[in-house]
Amino acid sequence: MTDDREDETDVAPNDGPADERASNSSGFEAVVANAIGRLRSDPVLWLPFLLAGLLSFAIDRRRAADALPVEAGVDDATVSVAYAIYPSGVTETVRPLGALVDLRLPSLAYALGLEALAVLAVAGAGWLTIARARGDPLRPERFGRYLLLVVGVGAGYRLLEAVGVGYGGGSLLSGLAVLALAFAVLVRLFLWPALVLRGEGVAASLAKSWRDARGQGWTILGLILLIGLGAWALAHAPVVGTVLSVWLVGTIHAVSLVALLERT
Amino acid sequence: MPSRRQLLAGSATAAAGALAAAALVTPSASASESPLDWPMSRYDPAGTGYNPEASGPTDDVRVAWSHESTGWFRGAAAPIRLGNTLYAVGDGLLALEVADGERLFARRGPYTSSPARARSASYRTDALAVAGTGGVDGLNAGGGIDVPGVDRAIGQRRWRGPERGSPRPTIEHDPTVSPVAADDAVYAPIYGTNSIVALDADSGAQRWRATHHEDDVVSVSFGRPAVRDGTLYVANWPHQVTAYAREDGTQRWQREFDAQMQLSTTATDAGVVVTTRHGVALLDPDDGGPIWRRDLEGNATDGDAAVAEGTIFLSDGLETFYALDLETGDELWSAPFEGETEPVVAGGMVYAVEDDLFLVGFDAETGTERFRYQPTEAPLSPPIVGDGRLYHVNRGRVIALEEGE
Repeated sequence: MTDDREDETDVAPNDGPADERASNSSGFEAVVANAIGRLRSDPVLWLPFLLAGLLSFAIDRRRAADALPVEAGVDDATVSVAYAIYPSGVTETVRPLGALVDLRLPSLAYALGLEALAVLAVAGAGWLTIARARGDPLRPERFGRYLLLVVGVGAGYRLLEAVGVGYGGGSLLSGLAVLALAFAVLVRLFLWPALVLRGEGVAASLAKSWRDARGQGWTILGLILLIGLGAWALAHAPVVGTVLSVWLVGTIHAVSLVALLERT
Repeated sequence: MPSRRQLLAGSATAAAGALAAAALVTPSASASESPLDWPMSRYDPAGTGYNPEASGPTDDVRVAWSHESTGWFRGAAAPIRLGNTLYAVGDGLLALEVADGERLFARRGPYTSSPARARSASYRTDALAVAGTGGVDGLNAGGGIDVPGVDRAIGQRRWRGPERGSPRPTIEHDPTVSPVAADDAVYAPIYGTNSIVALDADSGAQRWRATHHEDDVVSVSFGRPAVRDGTLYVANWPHQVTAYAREDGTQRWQREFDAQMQLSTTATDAGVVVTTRHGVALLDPDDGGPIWRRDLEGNATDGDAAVAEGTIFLSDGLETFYALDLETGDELWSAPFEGETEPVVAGGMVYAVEDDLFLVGFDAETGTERFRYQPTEAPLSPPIVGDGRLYHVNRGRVIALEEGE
């Protein structure tokens, strides 16, 4: 075992009165109160995702202006839970995976570069925010693993979308069953990003996230709904939707992960 | 110095990146050019239905090959041909070898119209614009990266057109108007709306949109657009024919012809041929003024006209097929024929499908019926013509017909 995991039980330096108040309550409210307390006591935590939001906004503009296919990142449904496992928020545009297949090399290099920049911005912001909220030193190897998670999860989503796999009909009952199953899985995966940044391997932290979510299902479900609905709603804001969604939701998601992790 | 774990993580990331890059540039079946290409419905952007380089059977037909092994396939729109590949649409996209009908790939999807080949500047393979009741999609003519066992692929769809919604069920065999592609643009009516749009072939981005009867919720029902010399001509129910600048959608002229349904447009050097419920007219391409009109006392609600070597070929929707002089509208010959049709012309022959079932071959010069063929299934799509063969979509199968014994 390397020293990567030595600080698994580190106490975050931001623990203070807010955390004490939170520990007296329970569940969803306690985690949210803890997260808000951390953000109040250390406003620098807002900075990484603000920069990521501004960069994502610039990438949105670039995607919309270039000659390649682009789709709306904001679901036009009546209401939608835009939740992506890792702290990210929602951008106004996305480049579908199908748009990259059979591109000529110069266009492919440009498109991949732009997508890599978008991923790096969000992954970097998540790494910086979670590390600071935990009081961890910045360790590049942890960022590498976290980046692997972000790329893997993001590519997985795009892959499923690209081949048209998804729930596309059936009865209301079966639809609700699929929805319940999806939320159950997302609940179990909630802590995965934070555990990876705590220094554990990608696979080991997945297993630990699955185990540690037991007994906290409703708390995590509440957080997922708060994050997902917030990201979707903020992204609808004219012009600055991407900035607001990435900045506010990305930050709150990241700090909530730390707050919840310390309860497990 | 990086640790072993760092090296492993770095290697894994690099390997994943390399794999992704390799997959994204995997050689695909890209269609080659051929004089026998039939790149969209009605052959060309003008909608003539006439390829001077092609020829088909003249005296009788027999089945050269039949592809019927793709279980989900159900189509009624004409196929297209690009190089040695035949593309057919029906609840998905089929790519077949022209020579023997062998399947190259199959991609399921909510597509119903004939595809239209759109040139691509950014991609190694062309886009196929195809319409469905949910909107217009841009598909990868190379098929994308195959996902084994599910008739789907990564990158089978390149872009979605505007107002892409869920496909709507319909009992119509061929519910959508086929898109038209010219240079780097795609022109298509949007199903369920009163709008026709021009889209970028690479990105699917909307270049312009024209909406008829903006305050009317009832669909105006467009015919297939025709494109020639920088202008797009389109007829729409109930009474209008309109010309738009291809570049920006500026309306050049619009004509209303009361008491006649306007069905289709074919753009020629002599003018714009417009089929109507009762007959046909030739309009001045500059202002839409009638050059001549012919009342054939027909009753057509669908169908197109083919134009080849100064002759218009069309049915009256009732019981007669006509050949008319393009310059004057005078009748050259007529022959018995039931219902509406979308004829095509090649090698001195006119091919037309009667009642969605019978393929009829006429001598283009005399109107003599040279053969009649009934397939085992219905509907039978309009044909396209190649090197001595006709190609049809025939409900659950795709067939090639060659000269009979």
